[in-house]
Amino acid sequence: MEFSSSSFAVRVRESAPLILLWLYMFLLLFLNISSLPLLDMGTLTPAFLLMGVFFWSLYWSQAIPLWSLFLIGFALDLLAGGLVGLNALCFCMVSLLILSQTRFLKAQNWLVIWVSFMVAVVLVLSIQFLLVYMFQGGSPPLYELALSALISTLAYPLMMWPMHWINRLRFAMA
Amino acid sequence: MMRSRPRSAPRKTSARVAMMVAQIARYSPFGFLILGFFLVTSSALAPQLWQGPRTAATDLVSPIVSTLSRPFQFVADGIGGMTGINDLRAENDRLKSENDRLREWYQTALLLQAENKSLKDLLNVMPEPSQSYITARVIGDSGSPFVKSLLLTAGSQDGIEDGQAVLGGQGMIGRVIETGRKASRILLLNDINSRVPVVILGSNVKAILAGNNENILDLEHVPPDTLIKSNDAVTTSGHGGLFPQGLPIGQIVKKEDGTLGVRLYSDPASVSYVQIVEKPEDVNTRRSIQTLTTPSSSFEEDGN
Repeated sequence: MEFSSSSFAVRVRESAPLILLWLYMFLLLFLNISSLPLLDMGTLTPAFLLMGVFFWSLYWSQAIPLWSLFLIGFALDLLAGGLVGLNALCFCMVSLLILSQTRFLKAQNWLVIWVSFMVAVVLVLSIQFLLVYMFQGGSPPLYELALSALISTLAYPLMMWPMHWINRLRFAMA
Repeated sequence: MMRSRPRSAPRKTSARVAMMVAQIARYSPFGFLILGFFLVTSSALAPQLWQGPRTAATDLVSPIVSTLSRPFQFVADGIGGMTGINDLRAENDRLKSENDRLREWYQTALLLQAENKSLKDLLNVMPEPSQSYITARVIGDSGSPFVKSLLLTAGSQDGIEDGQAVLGGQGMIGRVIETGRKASRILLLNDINSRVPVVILGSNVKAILAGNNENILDLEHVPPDTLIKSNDAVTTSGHGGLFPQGLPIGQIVKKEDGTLGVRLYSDPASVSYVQIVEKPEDVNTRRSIQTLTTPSSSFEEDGN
């Protein structure tokens, strides 16, 4: 009994960062669709879930395989009320792009990573703009898209901090 | 030779499976991209296919989203209360509410004037059935600049139905498009997919109010050579039977390019609570719908 309970504790301890990672991803998902009066940005909300996708694709891509990103993007699409598959597609694209540039990005300082996140946001908004324009024949004004990119970029350092902590915990547990 | 054959066959099979898995893994990124694009296409061409899964997902997570938004509301209220300009806020709120009340009275006066005129013209007209409302809290939004929708904490168990008009503090802001048991989603008037039949008071011109994802909405199918003035009130026309007649929506403004647009009375982005207009419970209306849907039985009844 002692052996099994201790091995269970070891297992829990080993998988704690992974559990925390996914709990945080779900928190980001719910934040993405919640009405946040603090920000007072109307219906504009920072791209919370994209922050998680970006960070973990860069620092722990094994924890978020492509199918899981697709599923969580699909869940966001169902809950947000827009075109189904749009975020799923964008998250996969962002993840693949980061995976192809991981070595380069990991060698850069924090400021370059931040700018890279901004590039990812602009890329996602551009893809969404094109697809929405193609299928629905209209799109939001450009200033609104620029504002959306700006608030997402500004919110990234704040939302990144817990993910950074989980990543450090992962190495501490290893 | 005879013994080695059964051993090599499973090996070959497992090698084939391994190769197939490797191939799938190799091409899975493209598979997911293709699947994503396929989903987007299906959602754009046949959005009704996804209504069931959307409603179920919304119902499932609405309690979590509702709980999650409460601390933010609480903190926002707390910060607002602690700041030194609290008194100024109170005064401002009082003036705003007074202004809102006066605007409502103004709208009421305009509506009564229009109704009075219509009644004088058509002496025997049957008045619109009285409306009742359901109040619900806004717990979420799309979180995307591409979709203008809100999530409410009321669903079919509270009397919400698809197609009902939704009012903000001062006027209509959208309509219910998805109804779960405990939650529902409304499409805002400024969403690109929104179309509402309206009437411009004063000139009595009928038009279609079209969302464009901007703050000033478009007016479509306005008859040419009609005199429409800025600040004219726009209300629902009641055409099509989906919405009641006379719900205040906004006022006419001239856009920068010289065309006419409509500014909403209620800013959909800033509402915390909304009122959903229940469908009329009028006996005559119900009877006429019944007559239309089951003509044979009603004829029989008439015959008897």
